[in-house]
Amino acid sequence: MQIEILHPGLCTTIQDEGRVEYQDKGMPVTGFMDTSSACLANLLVNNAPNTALLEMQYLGCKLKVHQPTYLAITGANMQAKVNGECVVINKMILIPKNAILSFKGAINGVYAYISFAGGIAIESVLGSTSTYLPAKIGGFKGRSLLKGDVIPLNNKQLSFVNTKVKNTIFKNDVLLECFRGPEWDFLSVNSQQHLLKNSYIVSKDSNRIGIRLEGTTIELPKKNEIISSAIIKGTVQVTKAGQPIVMMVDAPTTGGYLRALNLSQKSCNLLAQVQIGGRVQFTLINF
Amino acid sequence: MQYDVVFYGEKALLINFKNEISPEVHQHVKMCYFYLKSLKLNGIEALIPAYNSLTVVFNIDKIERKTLKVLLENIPFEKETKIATSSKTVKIPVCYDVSLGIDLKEVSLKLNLSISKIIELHASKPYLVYMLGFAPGFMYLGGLDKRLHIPRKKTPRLKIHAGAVGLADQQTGVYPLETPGGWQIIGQTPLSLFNPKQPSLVEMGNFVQFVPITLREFHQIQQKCK
Repeated sequence: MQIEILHPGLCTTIQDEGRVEYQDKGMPVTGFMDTSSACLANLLVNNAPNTALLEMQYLGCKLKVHQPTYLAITGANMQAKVNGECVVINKMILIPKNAILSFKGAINGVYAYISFAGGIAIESVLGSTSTYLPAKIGGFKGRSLLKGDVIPLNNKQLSFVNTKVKNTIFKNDVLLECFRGPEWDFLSVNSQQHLLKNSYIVSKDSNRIGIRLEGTTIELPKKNEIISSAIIKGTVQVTKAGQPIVMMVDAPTTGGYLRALNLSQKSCNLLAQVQIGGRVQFTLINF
Repeated sequence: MQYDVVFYGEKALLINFKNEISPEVHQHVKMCYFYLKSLKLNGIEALIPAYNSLTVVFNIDKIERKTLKVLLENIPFEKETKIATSSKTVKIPVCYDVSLGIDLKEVSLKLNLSISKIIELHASKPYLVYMLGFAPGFMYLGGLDKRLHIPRKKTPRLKIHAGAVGLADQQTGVYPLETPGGWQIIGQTPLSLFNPKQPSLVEMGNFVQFVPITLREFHQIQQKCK
């Protein structure tokens, strides 16, 4: 069983839930950007949630299946087609032998996922199949997919999952639930209010490392740095320029900016799917 | 040992020690890190030690947040000092040839030190690995001689080779991956500080001793590592 990449799209990588246990060695967690959509894709084809799948960003790929293949597509709506005909997403589907599965740009959302029943047959590196581009490890040869790549799939005895899950319409205007971060109290009451009352725009410089936000400058206290300490997924740092960055799955394990807020896991997934130019606002919640 | 424990997002707790970078505070972080590691608590996913903090990442389906907080607040870390004994010294060969230490001449002029003096000072004593972070395998080293303190380059280079050894303000360090960077490069190690089979040569609490090697030895070791 295998698939062949005919066009790689913007940045298509193999991901799973990532590697958590090497953060003490400076290794980022990596893994799915939108865990919720990715795990749904795996669930729809009866895979374990941590199974390796394809993650596509903004512009989907074009691939050929060499044998009849069961798969599910979730996440951003990239206008999936099989041999030119629209196909249903958020459901397990059968792609016939030698058929071509193609995607276009995302109508809504940013990250789309393709899970294959049985998963992708790829070796783990440091406990995960996730691609980490800066260190060129994991996934397929440690890189994003290219035209001509042939990716092996696991053979699996199938039980067809005949469930259609309602499509998610990802919004470009979202409210992000946050907890107070470790340095929340470093900010003046004015700055705290400022951070919560204003909305921010997702910058074009956003990626798997972090989502940069742009808005009116947050006034910082004199002490605007800390002794380097851990960063985790969802940590909202305020840079020296007074702009927030939400750290995501490929973020460095430590940093020195003030950690003002921390997004809930649910909000991390929501934010991952907000397109460049989309608007977000923080709202405080308690444990 | 003084520390406090605060909630850090949905699935982590942050242990903050005294707000300073010092070998004493490092000892406390190290003690807690190795002690918690040895407990192998079900549901603890990661421990991220830093200069004066330790972040404990846990699985919310396996451990209740408040229970873990109480546990961390009451662990008798100080009675467990024997755990934190790993202070091995890792030798890292460095070639300080000007073909690899591309900023050596500039550093020599700016610091008013001869190149041989720079090498002597840099390789004269072991450095304490306070923590790893920033990139996989990147060591935050303490104890750089004051005479080697030099600001970063005004314009960062777009590409610095993996293994490059640099100076920046009060720090010295080794680039584990090929990245852009603004450090003053004074040499290069033929060893991989990060490779997929071993995420890091060293761990926090180790010491690192740089050992000067010739260009010829550099190429020999590089060949062997391949």
